[in-house]
Amino acid sequence: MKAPKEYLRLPGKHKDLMGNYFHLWCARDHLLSVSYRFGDEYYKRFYYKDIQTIIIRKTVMGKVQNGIMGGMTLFFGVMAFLTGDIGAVIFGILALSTTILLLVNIVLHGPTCESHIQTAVQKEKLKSLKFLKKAIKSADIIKKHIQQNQGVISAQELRTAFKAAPSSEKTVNVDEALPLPQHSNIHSALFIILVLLGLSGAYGFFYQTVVVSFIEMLLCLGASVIMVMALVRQYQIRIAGSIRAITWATLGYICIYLGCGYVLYIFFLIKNPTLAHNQWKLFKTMAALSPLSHPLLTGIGVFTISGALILGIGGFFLLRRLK
Amino acid sequence: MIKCPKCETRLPESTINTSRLEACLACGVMIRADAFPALIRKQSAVQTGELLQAENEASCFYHPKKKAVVPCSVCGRFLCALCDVELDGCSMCLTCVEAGKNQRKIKSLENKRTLYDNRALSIAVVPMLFVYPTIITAPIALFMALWYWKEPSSIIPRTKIRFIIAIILSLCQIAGWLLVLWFFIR
Repeated sequence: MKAPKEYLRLPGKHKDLMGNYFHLWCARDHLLSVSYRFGDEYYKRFYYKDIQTIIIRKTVMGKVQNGIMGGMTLFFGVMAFLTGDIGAVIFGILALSTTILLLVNIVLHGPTCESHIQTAVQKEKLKSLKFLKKAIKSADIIKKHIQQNQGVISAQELRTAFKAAPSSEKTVNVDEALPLPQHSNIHSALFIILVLLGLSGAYGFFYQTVVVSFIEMLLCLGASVIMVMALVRQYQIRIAGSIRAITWATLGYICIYLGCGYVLYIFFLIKNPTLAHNQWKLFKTMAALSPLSHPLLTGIGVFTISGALILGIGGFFLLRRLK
Repeated sequence: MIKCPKCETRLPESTINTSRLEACLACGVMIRADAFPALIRKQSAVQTGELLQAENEASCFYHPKKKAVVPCSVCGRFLCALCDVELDGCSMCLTCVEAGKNQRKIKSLENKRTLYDNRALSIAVVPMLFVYPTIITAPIALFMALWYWKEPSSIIPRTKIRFIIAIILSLCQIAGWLLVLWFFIR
């Protein structure tokens, strides 16, 4: 008869950009955390009899990654559509690759998480458990081993222990806690403005008029002001982590948007120095510029439209779902 | 007690051991917390070793004034409660524990191992991208794979496939270079 294996592998692995590799193994009396670095393997043992808690926290990293990947897919797709010949093939391949990555991320991996294991003297992050589905599966297996070793903690025992615990720690009473997540009108306004900015940008992409450019400029300024208000507001209220992340992503988006606008403005001034003294004429000339006239302008146009629409629609739907 | 890993607020008992994700009441992140009896277990007092009461009592090898409670299962020296280290169900003295760790005799104390099979494979594969370095790296990879063949690999299950691939690749590279050399001489 075949002898039982000393170590059994748990679901979940993580490989970082430096080539470090992390995975978990279950033994008879301990959990082995293995990390691989440049040809060496490092081990950390957590004995089942010492483990006090396993904590899994859902993170928004997966949503952010999917958002970025979606934006890139859209960008490459549009670029493939706009460019011809070799450009179309290259951008088409890139769009296909990002689509596959996006699908793999959504279908196979699902939401992301952070997992911690706590003993009396340490709290360690389990780097291999970064996807929620696999983390839960692994936690269930580890839980069984720990319960075989330690037994089960009853609700009564837990209650007694919590009552006896020192009250100096920061706590939140269930009755005092505000309902979660709290709704924020500022965030709703921000996402609506972003959607409008995306739509006006899309209109301006094909029909260049002064009115549309003016509206776009006003919306961008409005979005900047409301974004600052939303960032301040989200520190005062309890709001979902995903909304927080989208608001911070909006800050990044608006910085890039304004940066690109400024670079274009300076570039345009250098090319047309005679317009420098007449701002209205300069604005009209810039508004008449077609984004399709230059690949750089096309790229900036596609980025601003897709960015505003992804952030706006994504944020709006998340807010509605949480409401 | 159990704290939210994000906001460090203590989690209420109602959110623990539910086997599903629950929202932290302070920051709103979704958390699953599993608690085990070790959380509420009282820590046992540290054993310092009992002093000798009578002259005919056995004393600890390292602390002659303290009473021996157990012999070391490796060297047989008498140990007091302070010197007794319990490892894999055996009582050991600190010297044997250290020697066991250094000589890799106690598996449960090992916290690092070098994976020579991975190194040999990397040396055999990576230089292939640049072709010419393989004239030097192929013999190195072959030597490494053969020299470390019997060295203990990872403590988790692992086959010798990397060594085999490294040997095959390095042999192919050496054969290729010999062929080039043969053509050059001819």
